[in-house]
Amino acid sequence: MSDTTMITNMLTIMLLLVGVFFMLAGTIGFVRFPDFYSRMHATGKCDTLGEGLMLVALIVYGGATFVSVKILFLITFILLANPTSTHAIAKAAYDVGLEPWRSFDSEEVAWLNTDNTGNTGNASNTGNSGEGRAGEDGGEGR
Amino acid sequence: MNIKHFIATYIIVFAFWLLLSAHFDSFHVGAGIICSLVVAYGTHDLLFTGTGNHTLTKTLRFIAYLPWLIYQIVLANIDVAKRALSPRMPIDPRVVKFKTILRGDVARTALANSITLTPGTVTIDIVDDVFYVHAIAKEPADDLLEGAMERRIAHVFMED
Amino acid sequence: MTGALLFGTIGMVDVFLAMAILIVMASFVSLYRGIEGPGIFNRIIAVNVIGTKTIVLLVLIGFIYERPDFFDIALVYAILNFIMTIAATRY
Repeated sequence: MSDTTMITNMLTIMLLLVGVFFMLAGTIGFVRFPDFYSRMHATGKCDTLGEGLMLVALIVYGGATFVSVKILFLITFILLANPTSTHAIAKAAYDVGLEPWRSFDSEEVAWLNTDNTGNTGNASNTGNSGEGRAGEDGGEGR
Repeated sequence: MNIKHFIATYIIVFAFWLLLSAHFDSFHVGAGIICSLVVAYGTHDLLFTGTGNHTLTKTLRFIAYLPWLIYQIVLANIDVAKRALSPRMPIDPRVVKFKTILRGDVARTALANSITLTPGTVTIDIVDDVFYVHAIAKEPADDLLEGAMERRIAHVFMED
Repeated sequence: MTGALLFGTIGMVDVFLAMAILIVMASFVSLYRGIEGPGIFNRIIAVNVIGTKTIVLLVLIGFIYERPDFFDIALVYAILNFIMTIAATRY
């Protein structure tokens, strides 16, 4: 085994390990987080980067071949498609009227923030943003 | 039927065919020529809709924007991993809305996807020019409302 | 040198196999949310997550068995997964 393959293999293994770590962290977050919208954070970000890193590792392992070009297309597509589908799911849930989970001590902070916010009218913190939308089954699952 | 768009689409589709098939004998290349003709005929008016001027500058600026975006994605992942793995789970979700200054559809899509990929924020909805963003805690929401990313996107798409 | 010995005895295919096993484990953990998770949206997102994990799994399998067909399958699977999520969120 020559030195170059050794370095390539080391780099591949390192990238794979980091990618799989992010993927596992995202999965744990996906199971642990208390509400639907927080789970979107875990899946939308960690899966994108985890997969990107693992596929980059496989490109490093495979070298410059047609297979690598295919994997490169795959990475580009995932980078475009994963945030878009995350956004689509979040929009669907928000349209149905699923309300975000709030921790107990954050309500006062939100009101305080609305009162003396610096950029006027630009940044109103909407604690009751489900208002005006169909909110009939907001209890259907956080 | 715009013949220039048709030829451009044909070349792009055929290049994709050659890259993905990776066979260069006469049967595969011939099938690629025929299939690309059919696909280009069907889709040549979808690919180039409403591209304005300065396309090259925008593309170059977008490529220059990518490293910063990747850096932000890495930060976002470390952030989410920290929040998911810490026993106290320090999250305090909230929905924030703000008005954007961007006008083009592509620019808004780029901003929405960038928001989703950067630390602590996910785009929920875009109604006209108002973004509904879900932030996982207070600090990411404040960072977003400063509008640094919006200015970068505006610079990329030459709307500043 | 221990590193060379390690790679001489273990080999890259075994590393890929270990990664594949880890991804399958992560998929099962996500499947818990798909079965349990309250509401239809948690299930949609679980399906999406498992689908994206499957893409990497397919590419890894392509490298383990050295069969390039799997990359095409992974590409098609990525596109199908995206379209399926969009279609599911429309209704």
